Amino acid sequence: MNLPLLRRRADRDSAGLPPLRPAAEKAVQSVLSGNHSLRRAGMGEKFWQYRDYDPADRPQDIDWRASARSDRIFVREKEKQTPQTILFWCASHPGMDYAGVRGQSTKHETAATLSLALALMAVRGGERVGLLNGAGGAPGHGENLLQDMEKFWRADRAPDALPPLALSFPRHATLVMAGDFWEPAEEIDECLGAWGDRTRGGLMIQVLDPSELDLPFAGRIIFENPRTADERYHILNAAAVRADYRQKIEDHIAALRALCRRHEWSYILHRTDQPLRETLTTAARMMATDDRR
Amino acid sequence: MAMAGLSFLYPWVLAGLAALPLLWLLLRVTPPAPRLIRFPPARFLADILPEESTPRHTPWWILLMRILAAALIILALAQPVLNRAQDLPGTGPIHVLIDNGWASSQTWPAQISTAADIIARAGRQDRNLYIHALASEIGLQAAPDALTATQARAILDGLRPHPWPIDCTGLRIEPEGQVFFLSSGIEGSDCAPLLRTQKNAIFMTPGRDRLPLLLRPDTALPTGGVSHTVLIDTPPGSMPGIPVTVTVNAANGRILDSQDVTTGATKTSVSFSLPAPLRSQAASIRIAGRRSAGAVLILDSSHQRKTVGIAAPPGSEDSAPLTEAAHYIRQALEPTADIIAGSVADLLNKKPPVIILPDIGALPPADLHSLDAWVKDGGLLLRFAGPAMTKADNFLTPVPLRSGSRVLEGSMTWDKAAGLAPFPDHSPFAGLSLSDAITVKRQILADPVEGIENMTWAALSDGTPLITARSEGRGLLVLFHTTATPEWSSLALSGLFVKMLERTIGLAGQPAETIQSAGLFQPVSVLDGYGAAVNPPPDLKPVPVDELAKATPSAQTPPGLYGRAGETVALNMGERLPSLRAPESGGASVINYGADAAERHFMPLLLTVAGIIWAADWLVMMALGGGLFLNRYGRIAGLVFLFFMGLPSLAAQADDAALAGSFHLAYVRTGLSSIDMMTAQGLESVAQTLTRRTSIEPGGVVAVDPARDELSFFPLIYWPVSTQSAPPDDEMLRHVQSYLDHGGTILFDTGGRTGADESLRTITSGLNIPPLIQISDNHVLKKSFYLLKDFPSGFGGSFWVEQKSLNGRDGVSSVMIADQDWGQLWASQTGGRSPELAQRFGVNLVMYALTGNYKADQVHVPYILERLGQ
Repeated sequence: MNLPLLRRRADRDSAGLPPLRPAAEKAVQSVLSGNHSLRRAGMGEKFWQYRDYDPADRPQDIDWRASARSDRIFVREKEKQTPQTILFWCASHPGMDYAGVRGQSTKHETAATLSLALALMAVRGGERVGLLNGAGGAPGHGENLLQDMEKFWRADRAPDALPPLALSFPRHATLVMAGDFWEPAEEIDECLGAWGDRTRGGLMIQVLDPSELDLPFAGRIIFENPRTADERYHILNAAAVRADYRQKIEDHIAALRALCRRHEWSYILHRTDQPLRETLTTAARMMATDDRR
Repeated sequence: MAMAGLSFLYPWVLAGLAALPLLWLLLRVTPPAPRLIRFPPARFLADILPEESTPRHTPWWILLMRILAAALIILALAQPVLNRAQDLPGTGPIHVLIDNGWASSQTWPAQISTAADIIARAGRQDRNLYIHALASEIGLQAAPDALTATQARAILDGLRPHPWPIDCTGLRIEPEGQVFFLSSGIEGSDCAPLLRTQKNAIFMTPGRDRLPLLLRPDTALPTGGVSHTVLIDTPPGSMPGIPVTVTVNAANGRILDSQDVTTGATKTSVSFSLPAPLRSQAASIRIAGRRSAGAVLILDSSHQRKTVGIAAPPGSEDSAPLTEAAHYIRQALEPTADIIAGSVADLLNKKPPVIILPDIGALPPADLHSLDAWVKDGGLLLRFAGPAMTKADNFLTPVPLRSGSRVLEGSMTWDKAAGLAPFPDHSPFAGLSLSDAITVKRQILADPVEGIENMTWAALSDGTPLITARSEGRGLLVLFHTTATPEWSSLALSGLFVKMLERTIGLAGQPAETIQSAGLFQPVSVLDGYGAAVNPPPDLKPVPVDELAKATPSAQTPPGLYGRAGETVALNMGERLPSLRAPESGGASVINYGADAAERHFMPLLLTVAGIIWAADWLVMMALGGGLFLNRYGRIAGLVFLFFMGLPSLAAQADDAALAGSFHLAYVRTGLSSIDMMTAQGLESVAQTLTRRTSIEPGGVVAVDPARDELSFFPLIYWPVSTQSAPPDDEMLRHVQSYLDHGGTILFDTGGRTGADESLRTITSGLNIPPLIQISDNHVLKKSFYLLKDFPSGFGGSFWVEQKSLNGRDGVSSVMIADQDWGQLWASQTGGRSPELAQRFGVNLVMYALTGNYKADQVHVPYILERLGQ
């Protein structure tokens, strides 16, 4: 028996996932980063605009240098900046360990890497990040927190497909959920609806293996749900049911999109064979537009 | 359980067939195992599921295949046998008496397969076996152990034929049982009485056409330049007309001469006429293809260069050599014999095989008597007449002589000197050419006695005997009725004299009594049971001379060559054995080998078919269960399977690799042993010449079958065409055409054999061959290595090549046709220029085939020189 191989497998099983940070850093580098500028006047560091002095303004807000150039008196306004709290949740149930092709990244690995990359981006953008279940402590933007989050995701083995409904987390946080979301749309709907009033919306990243979308199998196969071992489906010829299956998958994805829209969430579909960068770019853009709302 | 010759050795296994319906049911409800895939979105497949809840049936044809495979395996395990041998007769143990004497090597396979058959049948009946080998090295074992079939089989595998006769003396058949006597077809001593004591014994013997042959030396006087005569002895009852080839071999195995004969009813005489230089090389005479000590005659030193004693005082030739007979005899015999000279008494002490008395009329009585005894003992006494012999003393002369001499030409006669009459057929000189220049002026006349014609080897043209000869005891008396000097005739000055003396000396045998009658002879090389010369076993003791002279082949004195300093004596089966006797069955029932149809076992065939079905089933399952999506183990299993399927072809490739590894000379097997043997020998000789003189070193000579063998390894194939060769079929023609089309070269040789032209035409009519022309004077073939000026004219035949070689062939003709029997020309070793020229042609031919037009520019040398001159 191949001992190094065994050791690697054991390590992998015990450690959950390989280090996510390098991949996440690499992906982040290629995506533009920056503060979530709100592009309106408010409490902030940056200059936003000059405007005419209003008697309601405090005199110390007058920019005397600008006012001296003309007859008008200007008040210097700064841009409003509000640091967001972004809470991450990443599915880790047995079904996430699936990879259609041996050696390719599992869904769990991909989802965790994506989440960490987004967290990195958010921290660099001045946001506070944290875990939805509060495992890493209070949201913040320290390096320690990021490392704790990575550690948590690598080791996480929670069997649930969705986070528990009765979860306490800071109000007005943005949620980022990564998983395969193969649960019935109603359950997901219930989940999002339960938190709806406490959140400022969120981002759902559905991480899927290509084979889950395409069903590239043929012949006689028993399909087993990895989450519930007794759930087996005996297919006489997988090739024959491919069209029906795809139709059902598309329907499910459409339902997910619809319910995200309804709850003012954003939705991204990520295939594990896609580069992370595209998804990160899209996610960053979506979160930015979220802010503007 | 038997039906129409087919029966089962283990019929109870067939009960397993009853379980087949059960297998059917099992297979029917057990579908092929599906693959299990852990698939997260499995839930979505739920509603697509067809409503069918029972497992699917295996397709009926797969079921049928599996049932068939299972049935075949059960059938195979029951061991079906066609022509199953009946149970052995009798009760009690089985005694197998195997004749493994000298004759058995010619019938060995039949004996061994019969013995194996008996052992197998005895094993089935659990009967004890006793194996008695009748020619043993250590003598017969009086009471061998009882054996099981397996042990008996092992002992049987260890048995070898021995080169001595069998002997049943002292053999006891204990305990009482069924006796099988496996004879080689030659009677051994005391075997018939032994068989007579056994009830219901079965005596197995080869058929009339398979009986062994024995090669004996012929003791009759050879005539007409014959150097060796042998007899092929066939046992009584043997079928006449068996074709055999007898060869004379040199010590290194080279064939010096060969003759094809068909055997007669009992004895068949075969004669060889080897020229003197080859005669001394001859080491053995064999029946080709009969691997047996009885089919070999070893020639000992008595067949080689003879010692000739000339009765003349030493030094007598020195004073006036041209008047001395000894001088002329010495000149004539020097190249072929060792000559000693001395007084008669001296010579008799040394006992040479030949003593020549030139013109000696009277001898001391003591010398006469010992000379007489020497002749009767096998000596050859050659006398020449002369003035001293005109006294009409008739002691030691072939014919009575008249006193005085007849003068044919002289001052007192009118007769002319007489020439020689053609030699009579019974004369050893028959065939020698006569010259008119030889005349006899004076001779001693023979008294015309009865039967003098038969004693006359040569006569004058008027019929008076000139050379007479007579057997005396085991020896021979020869008298030239004229002198060995030119005094009485010009015979001594002619080349004919030399040849006459050579032939006369060739008749001499070794006197039975050798120079020393005491002492030991060491075995030099002995024959094994298959007639191959091997080193003597270390425990073989030297044999005293007197014992060797009368020894019959045995374990202590196996046939072979025994020798001591400068002298070798052969102990041959054929010399020592009494006349062959057909074996007596002694009341036993006689069965020929191979009379029963052989058992045919079907187990391997059935298992093979079952394996093929299983493999097909596997492939089908792969195709059904996932579109040939083989997992790793499936792939490995497939590779292992393909490997075993490929093994036979691998074995064939190994052979091919050897052929492709080096250059081989190839010839087409005609099926006629004489032509094939000659061709192989000829090509072997060409190969040797090539290795010696050129950079081409052929790896060997290969016989090919154009219909079946892969030809592409051979740049050149020599094809002796014979009328006996099988007519070409389409497959062979396609094969040959493909060979020619891809650059091969074939030399067809009709060998001038009658009808071969016609055979060649039937072959070539099916081949696409460009037009041929007679070889031109400046063809490359004449210059590719040697410059062959007188080819092909010097060989008296014609040679055809392609008029214009096709493109891409480098000027090499794809087909050449000759009618000279090059195989034989190459094989012939006899001196002279012609074998050398034949070898040169062989070298040129191979060079031409290999190098093409490399030397073609030499064709233009005259023109180039001419141009340079301008």
